[in-house]
Amino acid sequence: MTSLLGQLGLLVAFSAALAMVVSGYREEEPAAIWKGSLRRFLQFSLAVIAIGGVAQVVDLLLLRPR
Amino acid sequence: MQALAPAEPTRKRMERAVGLSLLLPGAGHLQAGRFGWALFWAILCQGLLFGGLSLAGNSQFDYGKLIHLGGRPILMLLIPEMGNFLGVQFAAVLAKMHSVEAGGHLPEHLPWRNLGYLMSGASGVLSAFAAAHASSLCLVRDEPLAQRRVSPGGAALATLLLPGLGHWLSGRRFKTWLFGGTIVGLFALGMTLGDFADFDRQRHPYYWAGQMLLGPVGWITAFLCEPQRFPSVLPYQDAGLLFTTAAGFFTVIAALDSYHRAEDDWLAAARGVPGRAAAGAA
Repeated sequence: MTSLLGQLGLLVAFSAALAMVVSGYREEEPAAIWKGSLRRFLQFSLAVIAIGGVAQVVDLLLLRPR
Repeated sequence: MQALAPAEPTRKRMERAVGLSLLLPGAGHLQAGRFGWALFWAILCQGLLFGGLSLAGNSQFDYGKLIHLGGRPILMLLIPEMGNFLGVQFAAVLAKMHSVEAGGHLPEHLPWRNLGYLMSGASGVLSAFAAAHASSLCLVRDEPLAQRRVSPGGAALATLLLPGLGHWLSGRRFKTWLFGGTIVGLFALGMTLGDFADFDRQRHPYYWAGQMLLGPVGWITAFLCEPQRFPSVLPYQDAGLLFTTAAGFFTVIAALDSYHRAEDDWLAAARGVPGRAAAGAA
């Protein structure tokens, strides 16, 4: 079984990796890479959490058998 | 900062070298006038492809798709071996488009099939990187440098060898640790989540194609972990597959970056651009 905490931990790890690789590709200076990494990390992880939240609401309101 | 670009005639030659290399590894190096390298890449890529097919009894073709035209087979699509395009087509014709499995046998009867998969897959990935190498040798020929410096293709190949190494050779220490640490860390985390059994072509052929892009780090790990099988459905094995496959794609991004930055350094040094000529000296 997975847990919400485990899923969140993996989301943080993947978001951080994605943000650092994309920022490393887009930028050249370390300061710009760090700044871009933080911004992209927040964007990606919050987008995934938002989509997960919508899926949860749809599950509760529409999909779950009554 | 404006990126520098090769002159138009050089760009044309580089594009031709990439196209030729993707058709037949080594052919692009002939375009760059480097016969020794052409021979090296031809032998390496075709040796890996045909050696791998031999070890796996051509069962690689079970993971491909045969395209027909008018009822006749005309093209074998097989990822990632397709990087060595003509080699794969020739091998498919030689094998009469049949594999061991199509002949009524199970691939499990072939004890070295996983090594064969790794070899033929590596042939495709290396062929794509050979194209980058051939392209950069055209630049090296047209705009030579007096001092020793890593070529763009050399930087891309070094990144495939070990993520981050290409940036190290071009003098970018921060990016070395950024790319190397992130990619290898993500791959290690993914393998751990999958109990070191998630690099398996037979079970996950599409993920496997992405994982192969990681280069020798992934290939050696897969070879060493070959006896491992999923004991049960693991809670995070899907995340493990995603992470290891993403690590492969991230390696390609890192290689593109190392190529582009090394090319920029090369052109700046060759043209004596003020303030940038010394950047990235090896």
